[in-house]
Amino acid sequence: MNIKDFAEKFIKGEEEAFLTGNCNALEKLEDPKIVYHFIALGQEIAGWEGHKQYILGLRSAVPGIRPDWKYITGDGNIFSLLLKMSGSKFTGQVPGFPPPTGKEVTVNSLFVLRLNKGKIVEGWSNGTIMGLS
Amino acid sequence: MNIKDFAEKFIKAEDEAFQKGNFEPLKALEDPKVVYHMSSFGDLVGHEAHKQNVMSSHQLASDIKQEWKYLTGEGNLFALSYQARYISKGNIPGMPPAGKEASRDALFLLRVKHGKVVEVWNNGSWKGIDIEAVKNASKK
Repeated sequence: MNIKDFAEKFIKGEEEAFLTGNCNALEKLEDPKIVYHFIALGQEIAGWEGHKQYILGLRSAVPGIRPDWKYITGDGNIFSLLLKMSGSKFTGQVPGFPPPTGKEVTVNSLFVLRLNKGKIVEGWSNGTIMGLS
Repeated sequence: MNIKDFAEKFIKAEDEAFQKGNFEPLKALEDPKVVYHMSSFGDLVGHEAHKQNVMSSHQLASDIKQEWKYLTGEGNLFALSYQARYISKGNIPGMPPAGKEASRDALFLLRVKHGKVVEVWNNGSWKGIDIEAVKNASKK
């Protein structure tokens, strides 16, 4: 599978996880020991389970949140995506998240993802995230 | 040259341009038609526009300290993290009062073709700067 096809599969997996809560497709694409460096949040998430819990937490904290991913470029085992989210408010009280702000959450972030042996092992993101604090 | 070596050369060239105003090493690494997709300011097209962007930052701030870090790379792509601290000159709406600090924290992705950087994407956050006000002031 070329890197763009992999990226498109990842986007579908992320969408399914965010929109339905079904994380099975995404799980197949990520290494169990994946590390996400969420630079804008000053947060690192280590492990697939941590990433899954983050997505499920965000779904509960910001009901109706819908990611809009766009493939930018890729080469070898690296690809990059742009993520935009808007239109939903932070209203849910979820353990591990700050208290709800009631504000609309808007995200505009650049992602760089690295694969090893056909699985994502490391991801970096940075951008603007508003409404979560 | 492997992509990590190229990235390190790019970091040195950026530092040389920012700290000393010497753009020759950077010019040697960038395609004349390089496109910078700047999340805050839209697209910068061409090395000359990039050069002007760096130079204009010195008109807004002093004591610019920047730190680049290589994150990953393969083939013709590499990623860098970028942190910068500025002391505002307070001479444009949106910037903090003179003497106050502002900062930038960003992720850069760079694409190389025929040994030159041809396309760059960046995204990140600003602290202490009202970027919309700076953009509006820059247009006037």
